[in-house]
Amino acid sequence: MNKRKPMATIVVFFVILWGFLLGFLLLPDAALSYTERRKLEQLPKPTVESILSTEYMKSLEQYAQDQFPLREELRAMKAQLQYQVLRQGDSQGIYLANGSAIKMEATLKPEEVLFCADKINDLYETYLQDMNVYCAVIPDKNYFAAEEFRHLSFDYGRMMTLFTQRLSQVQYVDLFGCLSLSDYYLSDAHWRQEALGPVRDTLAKAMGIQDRLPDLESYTRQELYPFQGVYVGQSALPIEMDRLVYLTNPVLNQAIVQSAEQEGSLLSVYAPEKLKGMDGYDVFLHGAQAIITMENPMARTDKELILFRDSFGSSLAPLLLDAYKKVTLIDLRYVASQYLGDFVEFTDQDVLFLYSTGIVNSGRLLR
Amino acid sequence: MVFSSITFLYGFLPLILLAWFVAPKSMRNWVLLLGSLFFYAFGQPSFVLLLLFASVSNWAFALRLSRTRGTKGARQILIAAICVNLLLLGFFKYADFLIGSVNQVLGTAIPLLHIPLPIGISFFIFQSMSYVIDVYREEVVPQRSLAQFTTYVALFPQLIAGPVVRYGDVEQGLRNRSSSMNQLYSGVRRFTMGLAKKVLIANSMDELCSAFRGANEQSVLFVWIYALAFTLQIYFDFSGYSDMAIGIGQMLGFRFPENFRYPYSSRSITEFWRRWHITLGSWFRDYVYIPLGGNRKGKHVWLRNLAIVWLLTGLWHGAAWNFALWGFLYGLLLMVEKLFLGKYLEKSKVLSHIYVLFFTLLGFVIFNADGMGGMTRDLSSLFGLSGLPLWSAETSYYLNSYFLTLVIAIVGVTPLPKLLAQRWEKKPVMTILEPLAVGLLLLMSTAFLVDGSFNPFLYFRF
Repeated sequence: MNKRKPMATIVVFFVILWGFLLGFLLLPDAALSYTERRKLEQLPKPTVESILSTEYMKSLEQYAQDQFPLREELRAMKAQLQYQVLRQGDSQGIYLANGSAIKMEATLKPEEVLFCADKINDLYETYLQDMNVYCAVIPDKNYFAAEEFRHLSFDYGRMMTLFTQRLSQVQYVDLFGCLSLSDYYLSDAHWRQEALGPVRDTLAKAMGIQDRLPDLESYTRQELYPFQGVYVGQSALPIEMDRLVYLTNPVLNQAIVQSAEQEGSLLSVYAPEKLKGMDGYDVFLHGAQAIITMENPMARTDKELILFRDSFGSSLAPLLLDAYKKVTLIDLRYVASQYLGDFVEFTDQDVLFLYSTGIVNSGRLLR
Repeated sequence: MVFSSITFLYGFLPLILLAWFVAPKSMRNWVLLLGSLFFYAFGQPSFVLLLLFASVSNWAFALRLSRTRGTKGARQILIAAICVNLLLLGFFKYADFLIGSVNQVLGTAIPLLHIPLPIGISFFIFQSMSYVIDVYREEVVPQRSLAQFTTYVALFPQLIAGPVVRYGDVEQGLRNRSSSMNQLYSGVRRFTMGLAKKVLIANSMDELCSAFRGANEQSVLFVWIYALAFTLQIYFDFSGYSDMAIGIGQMLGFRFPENFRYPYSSRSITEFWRRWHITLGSWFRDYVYIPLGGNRKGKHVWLRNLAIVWLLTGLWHGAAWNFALWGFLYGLLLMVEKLFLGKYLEKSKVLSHIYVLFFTLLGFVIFNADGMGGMTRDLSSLFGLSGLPLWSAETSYYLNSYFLTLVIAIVGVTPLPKLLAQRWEKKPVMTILEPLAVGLLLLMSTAFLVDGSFNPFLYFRF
């Protein structure tokens, strides 16, 4: 019998087995996965309780998965095998359409949608009576691509009917017609700030502030590259990196930005240094913040805006600052609504609720 | 610990193999014993004592049997041994099932015990029982060394999900096993193939089953796709695990019995059960069916024996009534085949295959149902009796999405890949292709494990 084949097979097997084991033992552990935007499991400490309950063994397996040598490459290998070779429709629920990575949102949760509308109604009753209150919803990318690319989606029409019929005292502004798939990043869930002209104009018209806003072309474009969006790590698919553009003008350059979480320190509207952080989109208004304010020292009005928002609002808000003396952004995922009165004085501001369909469909995230 | 985990594949396995290779021959059983106990403790430390108790008690019963051979006492010892084993199995696996059934029938409210199921209890108890019975029958010589016997009971490759290895299968190996490069090579190939079957195919089929369970829009076609996916999943899951067990056994110098021989290519249910979980089927044949009289005591006793064996087979798989019904269905089909259907099945290859596949699919829908209520729901959906539409957009999406995986899985359950491999085996190009294929399958499986969230073995619960 030819001995080369058995020998080669055994060698390949044991080189992989012992090679990865050695790599695992010798390579230092990583603390974070930037592509997946999460902390990686560290070597668990054994205790009698954790061993007897097998929690220790579960943590150890998670640790081994997280710290495995060539982990990113292996994840990419799996994704490509499933998506490109086996032609599965999605990788971890994410698919590609015209080069854009899109999360397949297929389950409509009516109770969450109604909860979101009720939360807005409650806020109106508590803080916003007799103020000009507007509400708009941002469609996710799946809205534009699911039908054409034969992927699953929930019934957006039904969602908006449920949502808008439940809203009271709030003027709804429809943004669905102002956007297209190309207005979003390829690798990320968010919209591109430089593509928000139609959205801003529609909102401005509804809110009566169009005359106080400069033309979008008048802003200076600043580019950052590469921007690796959230879907790169989630799907492990080969997705083209984006160019992140942010728009500046004298108002934004001089704006006074303060976060309730970092009292006393002055921030800038944009934080380019955050591009390489856990979430590159944090470039816009420093990412997740419970309450953050932008003051316009060049304002020719005393009018203020309160923007109840999710992360999408971070890139739109700077484009509205010219029309106001102050814009206050509130993210109800990080601050409970009953404490808002301690941080924000509600007087006669304009109020805009701006949420993506993902948040509307997970309304209970709003506290 | 499961074979398809990073901690096993890149922790336990390379280290135990290294220890086994470098240990002197006289120490190798100790390496196996300590490694096996660690392996079991990693999954359920609190039940290591149970495993040791089963080993010590059966070892002692067998020794006592050998000393009382030919006397009335021997039979009493055998009965005591069987009772101890069945009590262990009954208490840990069936106590809550019995209490729940009594509560349902009598309307009582006896509290459930909520005892966690010791991993692999059905396997190591059946193996221990077979050993004592074989000693009683003088088919094997009792093992004098407690360490060697415990090594057999706790032998990690087959400890938690089979095959059901009898003492006679490994007796020689425990005493003096030789290992050769060819054996190691066969083991490596078999293990890698089993790992790929489990991780690449069975887990993908599980994703499809989960998509069905979580679907917003189910349909009759989706129920059939689910039934097909689960039928493929359980085959690749269980036969993959058996392949890994046999492969590791070969690497360590053991020869474990085959457990699967392309069951879905059968032309009758009788043939199916000669090809599916072979070691369990032969266990019930040798230790229940034949001792009850088999088919030698008239038609009524024969049919009764079949009913008993298949009810027990069903309940062995799970402590719930749908498992009992699943076993009963097969018992019934076997009776029908033996009484009159068998001769008709031989006449048409196509129809007999369709018949086997239909009842296998149906059987596994019952098997995987969530209790009797879930079973009724699934079966009525399967036949369009629950008001589901015939088709939905979601069905179409998942069918398209998993179409290639389904095709690969369907081809994989036939003997075709093996025939092709045999035809190509001697070609010179295989000197390069085969090591490449083994490496690639191992890497792909690793990639799925590193990124995977779902991974339990279905047969863990047995």
